[in-house]
Amino acid sequence: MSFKPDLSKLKSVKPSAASRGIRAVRSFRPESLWVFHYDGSGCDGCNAEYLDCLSPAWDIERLAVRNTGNPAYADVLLVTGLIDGDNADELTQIYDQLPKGSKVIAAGACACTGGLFSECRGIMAGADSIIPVDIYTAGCAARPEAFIDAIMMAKEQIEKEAELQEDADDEE
Amino acid sequence: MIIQMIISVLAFILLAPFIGGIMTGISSKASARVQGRNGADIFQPLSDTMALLQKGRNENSGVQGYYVKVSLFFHIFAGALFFAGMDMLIAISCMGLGIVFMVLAAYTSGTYYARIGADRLIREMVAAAPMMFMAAIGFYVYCGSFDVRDVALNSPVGFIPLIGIFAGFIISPCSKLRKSSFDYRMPHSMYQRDMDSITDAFNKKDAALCEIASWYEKTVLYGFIFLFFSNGRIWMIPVGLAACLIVCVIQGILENISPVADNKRAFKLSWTAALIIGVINLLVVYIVV
Amino acid sequence: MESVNYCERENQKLTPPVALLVLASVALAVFHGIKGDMSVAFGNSAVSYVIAALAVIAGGVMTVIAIKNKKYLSAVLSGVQVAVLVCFVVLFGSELRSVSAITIDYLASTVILITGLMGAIIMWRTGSGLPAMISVLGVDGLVLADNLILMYFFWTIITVSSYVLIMKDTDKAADLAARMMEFNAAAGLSFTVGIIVSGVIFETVEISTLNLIDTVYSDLIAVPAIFIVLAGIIRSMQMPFQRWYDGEHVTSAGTASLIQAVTLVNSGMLVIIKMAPAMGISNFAGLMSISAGAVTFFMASLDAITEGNVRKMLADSTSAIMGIALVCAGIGTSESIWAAIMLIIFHTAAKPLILAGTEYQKLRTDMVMAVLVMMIAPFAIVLLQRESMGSIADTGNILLIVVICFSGAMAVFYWTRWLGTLISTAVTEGIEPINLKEFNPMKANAWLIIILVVGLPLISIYMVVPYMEGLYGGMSAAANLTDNIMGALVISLGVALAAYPIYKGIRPQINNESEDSEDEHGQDVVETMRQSGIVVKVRKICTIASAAMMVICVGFVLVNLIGLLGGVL
Repeated sequence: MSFKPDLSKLKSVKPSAASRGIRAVRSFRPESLWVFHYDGSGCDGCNAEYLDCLSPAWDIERLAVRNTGNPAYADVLLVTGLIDGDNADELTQIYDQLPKGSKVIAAGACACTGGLFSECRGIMAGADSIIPVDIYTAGCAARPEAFIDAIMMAKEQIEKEAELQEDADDEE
Repeated sequence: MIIQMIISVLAFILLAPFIGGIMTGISSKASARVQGRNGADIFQPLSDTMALLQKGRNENSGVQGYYVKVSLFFHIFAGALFFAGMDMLIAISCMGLGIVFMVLAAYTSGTYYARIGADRLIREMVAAAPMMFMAAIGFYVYCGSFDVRDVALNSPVGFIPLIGIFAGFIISPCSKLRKSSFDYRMPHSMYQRDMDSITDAFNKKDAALCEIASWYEKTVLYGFIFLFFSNGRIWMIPVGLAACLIVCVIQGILENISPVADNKRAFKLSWTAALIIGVINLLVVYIVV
Repeated sequence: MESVNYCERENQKLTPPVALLVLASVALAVFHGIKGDMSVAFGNSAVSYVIAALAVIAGGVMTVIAIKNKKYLSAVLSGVQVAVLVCFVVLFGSELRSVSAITIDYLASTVILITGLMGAIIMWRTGSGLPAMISVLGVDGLVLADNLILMYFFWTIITVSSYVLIMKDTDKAADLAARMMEFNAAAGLSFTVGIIVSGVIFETVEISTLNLIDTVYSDLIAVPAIFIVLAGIIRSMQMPFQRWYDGEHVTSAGTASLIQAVTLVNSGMLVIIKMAPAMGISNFAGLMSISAGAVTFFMASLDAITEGNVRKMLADSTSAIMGIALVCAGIGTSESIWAAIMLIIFHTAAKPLILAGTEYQKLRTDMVMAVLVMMIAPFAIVLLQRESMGSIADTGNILLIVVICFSGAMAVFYWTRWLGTLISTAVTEGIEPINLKEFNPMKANAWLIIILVVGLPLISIYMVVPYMEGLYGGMSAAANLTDNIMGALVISLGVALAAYPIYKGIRPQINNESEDSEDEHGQDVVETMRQSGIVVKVRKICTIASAAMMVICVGFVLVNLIGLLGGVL
C-alpha cells in the first residue's frame, strides 16, 4: 500500500500578482510540524530510535518539528511498537483526538505489519488494522534517518493537501 | 506626555508578542547550543503558535476559553500600565491577576492534570512574587518612587546598587522565562508524559492564546530587567537591550545545568534566593541610601 | 464544601428592630455628614461615676456568667478586672479630667454605617435576635466612646453577648465558648490595666487627650497604649493568641460571621485603630503591633494554605487580614492607617457573604451575584496590599518588608486556590434554580459590596481621608485619586470578568473523569507541605517570636512605667 497525492486537480493557470499576494497572506502556513509519538508494547527499540531523533546527532528540531504531548495539537501521529489488544483502545482514542488533516506514520516493522510477532496471539498485524495509516517506514529498529524521512514526507503531504484544499476553496 | 504614553502602550500591545516569541526562541537556541545541537530557528516559537492558531481557527471555546481571554486581557493591561510609566506595584498586581485567571481557566478545564498544572502555576507565581515585590521596593528606596517613568527616566542606573536584587530577580521571577521544570504553559520536554500543564485540556486556540499571554508577561519581565539599566540617557538603551539579551541567553543555559531542579527544589531555591540575596541588598541600599 | 445542618434559612425574617438598626445607622452617618465632628462632654462628674458603675456592672455580669458555667479561669480573670476597676474608680476617680466622653467623627460614622448594615443583613438572614443586636450596638458604642471606661463597658457587652450567641447555637459550642471567654477575659484584663495606667499617670482616661499627649511625649504614651493594644491583639486573633476561634463548623455561619467579621474581632481592631495615632515605629506599642501583625499575617497565610476545611481556612484568613491591618495601624502614618481602615471595611462587608456561602453545597442561580462578590476579597486584598506596601517600604524596617512580601505571596496562593475550587465547582457541577426569596439577604450583602468597591474612591475621599486629616492635619497622600480609581477599576473588572461565565451559566467544554493518580510529579504542594511538618515547625517559631516580642515590649514599657510611677507617687 502506498499513498500518492492526487495532483490531477492542480491547475495550470497562472493567477495575477494581486491574487497571488492575497493568497500568500491567507495561506501563510508557518513552517511548524507537531508530532505526537505513540509507542505500543514491544522491545522499545523504535521508541529509543525516535528519541534519538531529538538528540544532538540528528536533531529534528532544526527542521521545525516539535514533539508534543497532546494529540489534539499534533499534525502527525507517529506509531511505533506493537499494537495488541490492550493498547488498541488507547490508539483509537488518540486517533480520535487528532485534528482533521493529520497524517499517521507507522514506523518500524512491528507497527507496519506486526513484524517479528505478527503470528502471535493477541498481536494486531500492524497499526493499520486499528487506524488508517498514511506512511510506512521499514526497519527493525527503524533508523533515525528513516524517521526523519517519514516525518518530512508527512510534512510534504500535509502541505500539498492544504494547497489543494485552498485551490478547491478558491474555486468556489 | 499623553501622546508618549499612548505610543508606548500601542507599541507594547502590537510588538510584545513578537518580542516575547523571539526571546523565547533565543533562549531555546542558546539551550540547544549548550546541548551541542543546532536547535530550532529563533522565530520558531512564533511559527509554532501561529500554526496552532490556524489549526484551531474554527474551534468552540466555552468557559476556559473565556478565562484565557480574560487572562490575556489582564496581561496586556499590566504591560500597558508598566510601559505607560505608571505605578510598578499595580502592574505587578495586574500581572498576578492575569495568572490568577489563567489558573481559573485551567481549573474549569475539567481534567485532573489541568488542575495539577494550575497548582504548579500558582506555586510558580508564589515563588516569584516575593522577589518582584522586593525588586519594586528596592527601586522605591533607590530611585524614590514606584512609578516606572521616574525609575526609567529620572533616576540613576540601578544596576550596581541593586545588583543583589538583580541576581535574585534572575533566579526567581525569571524562572518564568525558562522552560523545563517551570514550563507550565506547554510542555516542551522530550517526555511526553509530562502532562501536568495548564494547557492540558485546552483546545488549540486557547493553548495558543495562553502562549501569547506568556509572551506578554515575558516582555514585561524583560522590561523590568531593562529598568535596572536605564537612566533616561540614550547611551544606556543599548546597554539595557544587551542586558536583556544576555539574560535571555543565560536562561537558556541555566535550564541545562539544573538537572535536579524539580518543582519543589526550584521553589525553595527561589524563596531562599529572595530571602538571602534580596534582603542583603535591601539592607545595603537602606543603609547607604 | 460541606454543608451545615442549620436551619437558619428558615428563620429568616426582616424584623422591625433590624430595619430600625439600618435606619439609625444611616441617620447617624447623614447627621454626622451634615453637622461635622462633635464631641459630647459630660459636665456633671456624677455622670462619670454612672459610666464607671455601668462598666463595673458589665464586668460583674461577665464574672457571674463565667461562674455559673463553671469556667473558673474566665471567672478569675473577670473578677480581677472588676475588682481592680472598682479600686481604681474609688481611689483615683476624682482626679480624672473629663474633656469629652463621646466623639462622633468620620471613623465612628463609617464604622457605625457598615456595622449597622452588615449586622442588619446577618440578623435578617439568620433571624437571630437580642444577642446579635446587642453586640452590634456594642460595637457602635465602642467606636463612639472616647472615655476608656465607657469603652470598656461596651467592650464587655460585646464579649457577653457574643458568648450568649455562641452558647445559643448548639451544645457542642461549649468548648468554643469557654475558650472565647477565657481569651476575651484576658483581653479585658489588659484593657483594664491600660485604663488604670492611663488614669494614674496621665490623669485622663480619654483617647483624644491621650492622642494629644502623644504629639508631645510620644514615647511615654506607649505605656498605657500598649496594654490597650494588647487587649485588641488578643481579641482579634493575632499570634500568639491565634487559635481561640478556629472556625469549626460548630457554629452556624451567621454567628461565625458576626464574631469574625462584624463584631468581636472588629472591636479589637477598632480599639487599636483608635489608639493608632499614638503608635509609631519608634514606639513600643507600635513595635509590638507591627511584629504581632506581621507574624500573624505570615503564620495565618501558611495555615490557610494547608488547611482543608474551608471554615478553618476562612478563620485563618480573618487572622491574616487583621494581621496586615494591624501592621498598618502600628506604623501609624496617615497612609497606613487609611489602608488599615479600608481593609477592615472590606473585610466586614465581604466575609459574611463568603461564610453564608459555605452553608450551601451547590450553587444556585441566585447565588450568582454572591459568587460574583465573594471574589472581591482576594482582589481587594491584593490591591490594598499594594497600598500598604508603600507605607511599609517607608518604614525602613527590612525584616518587616521581607515578612510582608512573603506573606503576601502566600495569601495570594490560598486565595487563588480557593477561588479556583469555587469556580470549578460552580461551573462543572452546575447551578440549580431555587426559591428566590431565600437569597434576599445575600443579595443585599452582595449589592453592598459592589457599592463599596465601585465607590472605593468616594469612600476614601468622603469618609476615611477626612478622618486622617482631622488627626494629622493637612491633606494626606492617601487622597491620591488616581490610585484609588485605578484600584476600584481593577477590582471591579476582575470580579465582573471572573464571574461572568457563572452568571451566564456557561458550562465547560471537556468534562473528563480521571482517577486520582498522585505520582511524584503531580504531588500537590499542599500535601507536601503538610507531610513535611514544616507548618508545625513554623508555627512554633512564630508563636515564640511573637510572644518574645510581646514580652520584650511589655517589659520595656513596664520599666518605663515603674520609672513614671516613682515620679508620680
